[in-house]
Amino acid sequence: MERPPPDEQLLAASGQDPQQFAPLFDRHAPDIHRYLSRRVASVADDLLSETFLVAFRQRGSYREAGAGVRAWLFGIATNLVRQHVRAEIRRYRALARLPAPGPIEHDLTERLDAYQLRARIAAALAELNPADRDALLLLAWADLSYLEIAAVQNVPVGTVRSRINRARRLTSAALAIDLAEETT
Amino acid sequence: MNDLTLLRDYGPDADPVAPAALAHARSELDTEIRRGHRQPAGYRRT
Repeated sequence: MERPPPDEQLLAASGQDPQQFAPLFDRHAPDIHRYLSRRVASVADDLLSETFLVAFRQRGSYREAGAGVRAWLFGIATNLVRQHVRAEIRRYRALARLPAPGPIEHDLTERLDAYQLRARIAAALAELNPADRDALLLLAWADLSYLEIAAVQNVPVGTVRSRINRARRLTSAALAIDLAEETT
Repeated sequence: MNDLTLLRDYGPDADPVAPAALAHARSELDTEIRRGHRQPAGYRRT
């Protein structure tokens, strides 16, 4: 059975044969929609469409160095989310308006129910600065590597590490987790 | 359970993508593709 062509090959071929771009949608659209939906539920459908239109129009500027096509698409989606940052913050704040949990000691999942955890996480996400939030969510929800995030954000990997560390410190504080006791 | 796992498991839920939404986005892309935008300078591999 013939292997499907890799993303990079399809993207390269689409320069001369635009139809070659279409399978990239079929491969990646569901994951990108899931990511967009978590961040900006109300406009996820529109941004999914826009992500692939932008990618198609900018396919000539794709460079293989640093990140693959999947990461490149998530980068485009993330840039579009930035244009809807107020909607994103509104979403997190709405999710955070749930009953406040009591004091937390050990074993979070036992002491906080899912609703309370969701509220705390949402509240913490609303407070992050946009670049830190993008880096954290590209890691957590898009499963990009630090190197891929660096390529997507066009910054050195050390900057990505700083952004993610800062974001994780804040979210962990909101969840009362001691990062020193946790490994990833 | 660490913070990243909690973020994945207890972060805002994703709404399931409606087949109609996927189809609509794919249709918009197909329309753009049919316009046959060829890359003026060609795709460059680095």
